[in-house]
Amino acid sequence: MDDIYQQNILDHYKHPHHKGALLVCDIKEEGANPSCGDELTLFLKFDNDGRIVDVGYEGNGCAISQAAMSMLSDKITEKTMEEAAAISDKDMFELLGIAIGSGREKCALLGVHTLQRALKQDSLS
Amino acid sequence: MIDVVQIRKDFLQLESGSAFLDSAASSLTPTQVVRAMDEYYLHYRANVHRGLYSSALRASDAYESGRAAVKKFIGAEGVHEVIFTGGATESSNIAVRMLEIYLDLKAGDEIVTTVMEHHSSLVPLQQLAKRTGATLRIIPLEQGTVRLNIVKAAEFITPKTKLVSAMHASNVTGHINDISELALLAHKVGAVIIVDGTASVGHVPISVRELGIDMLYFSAHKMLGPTGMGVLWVKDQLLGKLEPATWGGGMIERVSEEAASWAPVPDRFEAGTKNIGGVIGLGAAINYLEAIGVDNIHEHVAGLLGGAIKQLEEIPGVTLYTELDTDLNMGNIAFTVDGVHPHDVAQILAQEGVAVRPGHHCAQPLHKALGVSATTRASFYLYNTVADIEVLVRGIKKAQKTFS
Repeated sequence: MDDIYQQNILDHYKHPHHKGALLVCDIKEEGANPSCGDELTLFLKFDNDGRIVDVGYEGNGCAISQAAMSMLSDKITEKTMEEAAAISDKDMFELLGIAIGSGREKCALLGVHTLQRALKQDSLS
Repeated sequence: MIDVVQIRKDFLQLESGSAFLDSAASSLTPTQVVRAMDEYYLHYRANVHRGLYSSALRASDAYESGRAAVKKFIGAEGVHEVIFTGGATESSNIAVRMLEIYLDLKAGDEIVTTVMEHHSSLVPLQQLAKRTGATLRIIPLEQGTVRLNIVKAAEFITPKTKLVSAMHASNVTGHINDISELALLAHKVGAVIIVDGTASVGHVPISVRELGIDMLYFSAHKMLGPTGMGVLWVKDQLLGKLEPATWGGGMIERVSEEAASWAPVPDRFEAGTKNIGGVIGLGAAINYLEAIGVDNIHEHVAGLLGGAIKQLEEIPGVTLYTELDTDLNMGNIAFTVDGVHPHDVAQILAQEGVAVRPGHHCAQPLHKALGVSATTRASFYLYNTVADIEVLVRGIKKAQKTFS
């Protein structure tokens, strides 16, 4: 088994980017991983042009889910809603840059799935 | 003392060399059990209770031998009290459905269960309460322990209580509950008591008569048997009063265009073709366990637990959520490691060749009561050795180093 605990993963886990709730936000979306009990609340704030100007999240989870959310938060900052919504599962795995086994896929994708749901909900409203 | 070296030869999967500490999720299967099922599938495959040809008769005999083995193993009074199901979860759901009709629950009635329960016990009870308007009351833990608050139990079980449901042993902390005490409390107010024996049967000696309970259920796959195979035992005095919860072939006496009457027990409660190979596998697992002695197995596991608890307690940053009195622990140690999420602990242990399980172990209310969202669980059984503890301890230290 390849070691998935690469330095950059551990760095993001120990020092997550954009972690914390946004007091003012346009979208708040909750996600959960029912198999392990991990929970995530994602906050997004947009500017008038529909670009994400601020990202925040709360919750706890394993190194993979937390690092993935941290990396994702960097990636979507300054992106338009369409650009952020277009981020796929495959993109998330590439961003992590490690071999994610089937047992950890849900961990890796908790953030991006919550994001996808958040943006879908917004477009419907 | 059991001969672990000899026992390990019966579990081919152990040849991989990994430390298998996940029997509480599903145990390994000895060659003898697989062979017994093979024998059926390859040499006398036939449905039971139907055909008159030799393989059908042999299959029926083997199936009923499985029932007799279960009866003896759990100290039941009669073979007719043993109902075969697809697993503990199905047993739990069927039990609740049958009791729903019998107890005729309504608003004002109360169902009492414990905060330790596995979701397979708790969720059917929640649904039962929702359907009937009855109130579900949850016996909490004794503050700062993994044990039930028995004072609260006595307080919660009142003449309003119609049903009490409790697990014999926790699938997380390993703690063995004082079921006899709960049964006395339940019967004093005329309530029925169901017991989830999934974590305990095959791990600690059990006698339904000694416990004084009304219903017991468990799965074969946590006691060396196959998956998809379970048992629901119902005390004779209650069994005759229950209506079936599933209907179909094999459970009827007579069927007209409009109506049907039921076959005698236990056939009445076994609609459709059951897992015949599974019953035969369960019977073989029971034979295997009885040859070694469940009391001897528990003694062996208690010895391992004692050593493991001592070593894990010595690691700074490790917190145990387990029953420390090893006589009262069926074989589990749940733990957390400061700064390392349980999933990451389990992942690093996997890399180090240790099989454990992270998560809430289908017991979210218990984890909430313990103040954690998840734990990593190491579980011990007859084939484990002190060498398994050594790799476990080494792996935990590796996890701490990785995340330091």
